[in-house]
Formats: sequence, structure tokens, C-alpha cells
Amino acid sequence: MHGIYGLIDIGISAIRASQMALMVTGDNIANAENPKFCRRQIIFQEKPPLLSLPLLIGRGSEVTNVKRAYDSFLARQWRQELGILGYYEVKEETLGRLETIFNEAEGGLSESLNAFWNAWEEISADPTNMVNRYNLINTTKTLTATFQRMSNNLKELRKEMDTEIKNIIEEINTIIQQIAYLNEKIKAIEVKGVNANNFRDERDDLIRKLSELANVTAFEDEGMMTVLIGGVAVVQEKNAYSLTVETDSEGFYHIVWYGESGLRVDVTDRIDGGKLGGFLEMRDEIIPQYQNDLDRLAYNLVTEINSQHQLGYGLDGSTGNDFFEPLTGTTDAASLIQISSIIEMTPEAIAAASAAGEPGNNENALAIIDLKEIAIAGLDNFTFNDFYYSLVGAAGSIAKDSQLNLEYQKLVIKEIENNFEAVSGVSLDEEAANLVRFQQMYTASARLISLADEMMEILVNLGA
Amino acid sequence: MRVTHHMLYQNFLFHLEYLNKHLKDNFEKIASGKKIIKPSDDPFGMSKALTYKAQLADIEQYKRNIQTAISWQNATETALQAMTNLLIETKEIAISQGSDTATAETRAMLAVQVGELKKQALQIANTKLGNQYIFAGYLTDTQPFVETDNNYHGDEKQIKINISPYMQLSFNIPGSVFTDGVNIFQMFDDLKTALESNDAETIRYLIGTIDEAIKQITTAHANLGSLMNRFESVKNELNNSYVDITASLSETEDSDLSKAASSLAMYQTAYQSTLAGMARIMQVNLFNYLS
Repeated sequence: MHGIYGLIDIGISAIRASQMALMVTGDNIANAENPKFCRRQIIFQEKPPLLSLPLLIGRGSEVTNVKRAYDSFLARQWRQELGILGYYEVKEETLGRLETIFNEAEGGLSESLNAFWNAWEEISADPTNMVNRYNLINTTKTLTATFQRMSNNLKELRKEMDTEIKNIIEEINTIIQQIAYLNEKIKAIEVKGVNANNFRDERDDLIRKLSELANVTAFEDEGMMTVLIGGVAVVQEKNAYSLTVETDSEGFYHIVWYGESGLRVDVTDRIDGGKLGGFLEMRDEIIPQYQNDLDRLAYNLVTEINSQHQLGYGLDGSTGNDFFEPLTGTTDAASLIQISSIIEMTPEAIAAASAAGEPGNNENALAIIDLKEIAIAGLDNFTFNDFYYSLVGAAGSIAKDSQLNLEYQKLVIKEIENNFEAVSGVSLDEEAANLVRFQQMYTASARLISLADEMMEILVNLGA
Repeated sequence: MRVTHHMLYQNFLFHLEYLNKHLKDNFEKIASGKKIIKPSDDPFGMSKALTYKAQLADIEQYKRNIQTAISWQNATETALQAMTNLLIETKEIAISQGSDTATAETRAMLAVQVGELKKQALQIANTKLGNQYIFAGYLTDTQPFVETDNNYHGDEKQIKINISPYMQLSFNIPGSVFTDGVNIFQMFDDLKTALESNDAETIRYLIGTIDEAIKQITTAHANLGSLMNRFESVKNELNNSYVDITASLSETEDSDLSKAASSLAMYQTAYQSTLAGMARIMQVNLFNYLS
């Protein structure tokens, strides 16, 4: 309708639109510090003119939608980098604990080894002195206890990784249930043509949390997110397919996915990202490698010392004795290493001599000390000391790498968060300006109506 | 790029965390005096430090070994010196009783004394350090000389000891030094018999034998002396390398305090300015200026 009534209609539509715009601005201000919240943008649209009239003048404005300021490309990038962040967070923390086991700054295996060799030196300097022999026995017990302590610490750390894996699977299951629920909600709302902004904020946040836990692939299809972990769909449309843990023969958890109609997939080896990927790598690759190296060190020490010790003679004339209890293989050697019970009971049996009945003979003790400087085939041709030092060095350098990687990844995340915030974040200055803008729009709209009123009055009073 | 307050706040936290971490690291370096607190601080330095520490422990052990050898050698040296003195005294008896002024009576009297001297010589040759006979080779629990025969009951083995990573030296002298060449105990018996039987001829002949015996012991003594010098010089070398390695270890693992302190001060300044800057930024936005 043209004319004064048309003017009133336009004024009313503008008042409504400006009120709505003020509400959106208020909502933005209220959520400025809500980390899940994406800034809302109001979409104004001109009310179409009536085509029956000769001139096409719009009939005011209306708010057709409220959109989220959102960049899906940045969101995907963010998810990816969060996976890497989670992975390095776990590695930095757990490798830090691994290197504590190998921390030699305050004594440790290297000191015990030095003491062990020096106790043999003391015996070589005075083989008949019983004090030296008791000293060797005690030093050896300290050495084996150090091996055992380290081996235990590694086992405990590995077991803890296993527990963490189970906890993360539970966390993942909770999150995917929520995502599936939100998928359904969003679909139901958006069918009506309105954006389900708050549910989308919520779902994005959940997917980001999920990305930190495991390497996640997520894509949207008709408003619903499909989420893949390790190549299997854990969320599809409104359905969540939970992951479960099953204990393997070694007592460690495997991650298993059950799909429709009993389809079963073991995804343990397919997960290499996020916190879960970090814990799995620690449990299945890194810690076992250090366990194995420590076991090899213990095993070779036992066999090398034993075979030389067997050749020698004790003060009591005994020969062919082992110095350590013999081991059958490297498996768990670091926790099984133990001084031979014969030696422990009878220090005279320590075979310092190369012949019977020669108490001053120290040749076998010297031959045992020589083992210290010999490249051991079972230790990649390192000496005992050097093999262990390289183990400490390696533990330190992977820990250092993970620290640097984490520091770098935090920078990457900061940049992406800044980029995302630049698009989706609420700026209070901007909102303050919006308040002024929409308030003025409201004032002007009201002025339009009062103008129409004045015009009407003029018209009514024409005849008077 | 739009910059929001939230972004400023997040960046502020990020930088604060970064600065705090460095403040903590530098403070730890100062407080502990070490720049390697855990292996990841310097993995290569850590294994180097471990090597140095093992070398230091070795050197301390070698020095203890040398000390054991030296006390053994001191005992040996004292014994050899006493034996030489004994032989000189014996030689004087032989000279005086070999002369024509000596009589059967004086010779018979001194025969008793020579018998005593032999006992002393046996005591010297059976010297013990702790519970070990030092002149018995490897057979340290076997008394090397007995009164009933004049034979050596020990063996010829040299007891070796590690005195540096690649050097072994022996430190004992087998008791055969008293019996090979001139058998000193037999000489005492011969002299005693000659004195008892008033045999001036044999007494005079034995003077030469005693001279040879003295030469035999002093030669051994001289060899021992040069060996002891080697132990001493190795000990000095070890002391020198101990100082060198300690310096290298310190350079590897000890904090450079002035560097750590200045870098601590630097991060402290950055920390304070970050706080001050943020305090200002957080106070203002457009609302402050809208009436």
C-alpha cells in the first residue's frame, strides 16, 4: 500500500527489525567471553514491493535470518592442528616422565655401574681382603636393585598409558553420543529454514574436543556431521557407534569398533593422532623399546660377567661358579637380574684368581674389569657404559624433540585460534558501535511513524 | 584482521605462560647451579657429563689402587733396606773374623750372633702386609721361607694392578730375590759353620759371597725405586687429568651464573611490561566513551 499507511507499515517493520538487531547485539555482548560462541550476524532483507503498483518501492525491512560468523575451512584446519596438539601434549608429558626414569643427574644406573667396576678394582688390588669381597656383593646388590627399579618404573608407566587409553575411549564415547544427539536436533530445526546456531556452536566445540583426543575426520551432510575415527564411522546421522576396549593376551587394551549387524573392526593400529595416538605410540612402541634396551644391557652384563667368572677360582678353590644368577634370555632381564646365591652366601667364591690355591692371584678380577672397555656384540658393539649413556641421551633427545614440537604446535594453534577469532569472535567495540547504529535506526523508525501521524493530522484537519 | 578483546586476552595468557616457563628455567639454573637438570635439557651434554663422571670415578679408583701398590712397595723397600743393613753387619763380622787376629773363641761367639742374624733375615723375608706375605708372589698365604730349609716356597708371579685405563703395573718382588744368585740363608749357614769350625779360609771366601748378596739386594732395591717412581708419576698424571676432567664436567653441566642471571633479568623485564601493557589495554573499550 502506498501512502501514509504504507509509511506506517515501513516504520513498524523498521522498529521490529531494529529491536531484533539490538537483541542480537545484546546476545553477542552477553557471549563475548563464551569460548564456544560464534558471533551472530543479522540478515536484513527488504520487504518486496507490491507488483500491482506502477512504481516498485519496498515495504520496509525484515530480519530473515541470524547467521553465525563462521569459516568452515578454518574450522577444519583447527580440528586438524588440535589433533597434533593433543598428540604432542601427551608425548611431552609422558616422555618427560620417561626421561625422569633415565635421569642420571642425581645418581642412577651409571653410578651403580661405576661402583660395580670399582669394587672389582678393589678386589684386584687386594683379593684376600674379605672387606673388599663383601663390598663387591653389596655394590652388586645396589646395581641389581637399580636395574629392577628402572624396569619396574617402565612397566608402571606403560600400564598407566594403558589406563589412559581406556579413559580416553570412555571420553570419546560420551562425546560421540552428544554429537549424534545434536545432529538430530539441528536437522529438525533447520528443516524449518532457520539456523540452529547455538546447537552448531555446541557441536563444533564437541568435535574440537574429539579432535584433540584422536585423529578425527568430520564432514557435514545436510546439516548432520559424519565423524570418522581410524577410518570407521563413530557418528553417522543420528547414530553413534561406540568404541570398546578388549584386553589382549599381554593384558593390554585393544580398541574395537562394532558397526551395524555385528561388524567388528580392531582400530588400535589405525589411530596415530590426538592424545589417543600419543598414548598408543608410547605404550606400543617407545616404552617397549626402552624396556628392551634396558633388558639387553642387564642380560649382556649377566652373561659376559658370568662366562668370565666361571673361568676363575675363588679363595676357597671353587671354580665354574656364576657371579649372577644365569638368565635364559633378554625377556624381562632387567627385573630378573640377581647376584648368584652362592656368591652372596660365600664371598670366598668370588673368582678373582686364575688358578686354585693362589690367594694373591688377581688375574681373573683383572679380566672381568677388562670387560668394561670391551665392545659387546649383544649391545651393538658398544661398551656397557656407552650403551647406557646413549640410552640416556636418546631418552633426553626424544623428550627434547617433543618439547620443541609442542611449543611450535602451541604457536600454530594460537595463530589458528586468532584467525578463527578474527572471523567469529565478538569485539566489544564493534558491538558498542552496533548498539549506537541500531538505536539510531530505532529512533529514525519511530520518527517515521510520528511523521506519518503528523501527515495524517494535516489531512484530517484540512477541512477545519 | 579483526582483533577482539578475547583474542588480546588469549595472547596475553599465551605470552605470560611462555615468559613464566623461561623465568622458571632460568631460576632453576641459578638455584641448582646446573644447566643440565634432566637429560632433555641437553641430551648430548648429559651423556658427555656421564662419561666425565665415570672417568673421574675411575681416576679415584686408580689412585686408590696406586695407594695400595705404594704401601706394598714401601713395605718391600723397608724390608730390602733392612736386609742390606743386615748383610753389611754380617760382612763386618766376616771381615773381622776372617783376619788372623781372630781366635777360635771369638769365632765361636760370633757364630751364635750369625745364627741370630739369619733369624732376622728370615723375619725380614717373611714380612707381612696385613695378612699377606709380600715376598711370596701369588701365594700370599704361604710363608715363603722356613728355618728348616733355605728354599723359596712362594712363586715367581708378578701381581699386576690397573693404574690407568690402559696400563697395568706389577708392584711385588718375589722372594726368589733372596735365593736366586746368592742364597742368602745358605750363606748365613755356611758362615756360621765356618765360624764354628774356625775355618778362616772359608770365612774370607764368604766375604765375596756377601758382597754379591749385597749387590743382588741393592739392584732389586734400585729396580723397585724406579718402579715406585713410575707409580708416583702416573699418580701425578692422574691428578692432572682429574683437574682437567673436572673442568670439562663443570663446563658441560654447571650453569653460567652470570648468563643465567642476565637472562632471568631480561625475562623479568618482559614479564613486567607484558603485565603493565595488558592492564592498560583491558581497561578501555568504546563503552567508556559512550554516554
